[in-house]
Amino acid sequence: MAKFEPIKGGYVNLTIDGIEYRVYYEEAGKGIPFLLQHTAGAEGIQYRCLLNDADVTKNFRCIAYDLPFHGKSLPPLEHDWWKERYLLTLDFLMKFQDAFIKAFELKRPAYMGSSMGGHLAADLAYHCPEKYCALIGLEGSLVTAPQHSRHSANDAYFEMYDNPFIGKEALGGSMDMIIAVQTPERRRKEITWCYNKSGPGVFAGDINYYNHDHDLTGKADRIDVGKCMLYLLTGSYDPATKPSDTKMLADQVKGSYFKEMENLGHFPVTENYDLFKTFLMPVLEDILKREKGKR
Amino acid sequence: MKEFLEICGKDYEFVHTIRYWTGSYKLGFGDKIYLIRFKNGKIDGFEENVPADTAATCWTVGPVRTWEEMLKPIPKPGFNSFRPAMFYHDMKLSQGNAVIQFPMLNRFLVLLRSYYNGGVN
Repeated sequence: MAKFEPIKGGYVNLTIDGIEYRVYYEEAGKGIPFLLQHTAGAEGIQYRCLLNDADVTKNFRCIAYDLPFHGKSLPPLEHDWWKERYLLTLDFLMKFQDAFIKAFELKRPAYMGSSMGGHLAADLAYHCPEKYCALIGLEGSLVTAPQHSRHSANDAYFEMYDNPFIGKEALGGSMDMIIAVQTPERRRKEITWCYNKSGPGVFAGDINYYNHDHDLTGKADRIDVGKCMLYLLTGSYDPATKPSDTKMLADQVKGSYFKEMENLGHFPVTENYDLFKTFLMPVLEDILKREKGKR
Repeated sequence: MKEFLEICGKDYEFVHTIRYWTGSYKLGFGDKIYLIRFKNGKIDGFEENVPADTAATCWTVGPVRTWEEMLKPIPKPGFNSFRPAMFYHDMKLSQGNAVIQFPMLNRFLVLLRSYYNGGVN
């Protein structure tokens, strides 16, 4: 007998800065809305295990989306996107969040994002905490460490990851190097497969936000967790954002939650969901406790 | 090295990563430097004790202390692959167009770690 999963997919058309985007999403569960942001150059499928996890979906309406240009979300259908370089910005990410929340009529959702999505958790905490009930940053930090961001988005990253003479497998191979060594081989291959099939130049364009737009230096101490709690989780094997990088952010955000996740790397949700879950569940239980009686 | 490269040549995953490739890989363990050649997707021999400035398509050259940590069965964070070792432990890793060899380097390291620890992968 065929096995169906409790995940439903759909498309929503969102207009941002006058351009309409056809956006794919998958959702499962009921309860507190829970938005799930994928990593740079990837897609919402990274959350497939979470969307199938009844321990989470019994209390949270989990929605994983593919940003425009990612996964099943095509570039804008009525805009000549190919006439300019694709570059992701903080401004676009924040407007996307607003448009998505409005379209689904979500009331103060929780949010979780990984890598660039982890950075975004901190940016949302700084810019618009009143819109969320909780923000969870995975592999996020104050600013991308200089050894990763020393190149501008217009040179080395594009040369390596938007280069017609370099095959797509280079990107998966690069991501393979920041996965924890304990990761089951099948999950490791799932991550690299996902990257190998990403849209041309999209990873490099996303890095514009990751390396440049995101910078809370001199600002993070103004984040008020009284308005919205900020949870920060980082894998011990992540060389892109080391636990000490995340802790630097946590130290500046008074009252925030920080936990190092042993034996996980830059893609904790996908590398080993069962292990990741041991770190996630205490956070979700804390969110439920804080939201009790508020909805 | 000869025995190890024979293992690589029989490993489907490794052979797949070098398909159609003609080039060379410089592998440096401290002062001990090898040059492995590839031709049309096959291993085409190697040289040992080549000069440090020998030209190659791609390379991983690092201190012995870094390699010793990287080749442990479960390396510590920062030593699990070439990029973290480059960021934090003085490993020189070819960049630019040479990133196309990253899948080969990843499989090479997995096989080398297994070989170094007496295992068969």
